[in-house]
Amino acid sequence: MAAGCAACHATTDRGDGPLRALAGMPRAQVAQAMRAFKSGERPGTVMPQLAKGYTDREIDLIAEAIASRDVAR
Amino acid sequence: MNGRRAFIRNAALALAAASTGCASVAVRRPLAKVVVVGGGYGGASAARYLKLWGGDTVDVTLVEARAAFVSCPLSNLVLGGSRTMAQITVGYERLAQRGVRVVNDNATAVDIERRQVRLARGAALPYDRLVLSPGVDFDFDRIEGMGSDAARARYLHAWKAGPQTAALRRQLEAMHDGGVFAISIPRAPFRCPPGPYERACQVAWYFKRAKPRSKVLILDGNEDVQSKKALFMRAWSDDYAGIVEYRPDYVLTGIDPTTSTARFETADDEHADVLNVIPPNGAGDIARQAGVITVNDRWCEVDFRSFESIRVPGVHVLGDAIQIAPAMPKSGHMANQHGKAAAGAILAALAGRDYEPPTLNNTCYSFINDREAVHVASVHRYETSQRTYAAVPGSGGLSSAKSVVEGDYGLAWARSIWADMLG
Repeated sequence: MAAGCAACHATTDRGDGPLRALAGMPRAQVAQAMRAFKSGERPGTVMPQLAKGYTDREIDLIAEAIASRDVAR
Repeated sequence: MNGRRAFIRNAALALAAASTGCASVAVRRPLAKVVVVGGGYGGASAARYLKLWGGDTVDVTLVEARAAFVSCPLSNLVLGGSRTMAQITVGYERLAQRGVRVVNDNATAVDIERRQVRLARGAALPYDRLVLSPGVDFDFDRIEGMGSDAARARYLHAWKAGPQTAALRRQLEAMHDGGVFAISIPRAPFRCPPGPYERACQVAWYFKRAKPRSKVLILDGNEDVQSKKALFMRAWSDDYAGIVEYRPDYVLTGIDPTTSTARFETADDEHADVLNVIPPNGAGDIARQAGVITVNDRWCEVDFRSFESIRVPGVHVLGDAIQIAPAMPKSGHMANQHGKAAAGAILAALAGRDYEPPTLNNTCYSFINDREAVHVASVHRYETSQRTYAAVPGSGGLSSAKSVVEGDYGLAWARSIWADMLG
């Protein structure tokens, strides 16, 4: 599931410019960011629109995979 | 993790072999062979992730006729003159370094019975699973006058990034100030719904600076703008007033090369100095040859749980070639997502594991000029009861207006997704 994020967000430590690299970002931080985008609390361009498409369970799965570097390159 | 799993399995097999006194007999199962045809957004992503997740358990071969990947996204900026071909070209070397066998050859046929892909130059490639990501090919027969090589070299589609992109740019550069560039858009569905309208913006941006008396004529075979309508209409009226003219319901039926005039189903003839003809799109030719085209003699239906053809078992089809799910665009980003979903499903099937289709996303940037862009985004979840993907209600959306910030995001998106698929 989290591989879907890797299209835009590097899953290695080499991030690219304004799109934040996600490699090893702590689980709570990913989940919190996604929930803040989803609720509208955190502004943005694309992310608020995408976050609204993921369930809480999916957000937790994504956060877990990113934190554990399961999608690592 | 896969490496460790494979090690444990092999160690167990070795132990079993040793205990029966057969230690000299090969203990490894033959590697599962997956052949991927087409090294674009779908195929390269599938190959990359098959190897990333499958590790030593799978032998992955990517067949691609071209020596390097050239991106369709951003290729309209080459037409506008703000980017070069080199900036949208990426080699396959890193993918090869990561364990994918990259074969630079043309896949000419699929032998379904023998499970082999035939190549133009090399020996046939056997497969256990085949992934076809052939992109689109064109139905020139629908347009009278487009039968000859000469006509096709003159009225370019530039709808596959590469030599035609560079050639169309040269035609624009050679056109006199005060000339007309016309783009003919086929009836939907076609590859990249916002692409033709972005192209009109890019050519207009070039004309505005270099040939201000020139015109961009959008001759749309559809009744309306197919994507990001309000954002494009605003650009044409605010940024490119007097340059861009949009006309719906222009279904191209023929071209007269002696007068460079285009003919249409119902609308009047139109003359153009540079005529960009995007013919009706359909799945790439190898899909036809493999027998996986099932809809309107044009698109390939797949089981969205695995992207396996509904017609031919063991053959998976990705990207622009498929009969797309409702509200799912034919985009490079979407093909990248197909590639990963298929890679996961194939590896699960080879290992006898269950697989849950992942939720997929799409993000697509269109450039209004050299720096400012707009986006459309969506999320797609597999709906078991409907046996297809559906857009998640309440998700997705568009930019409120063009911006430099989104232009920067658009360029970063390209760099990121190229790294994601090509290593």
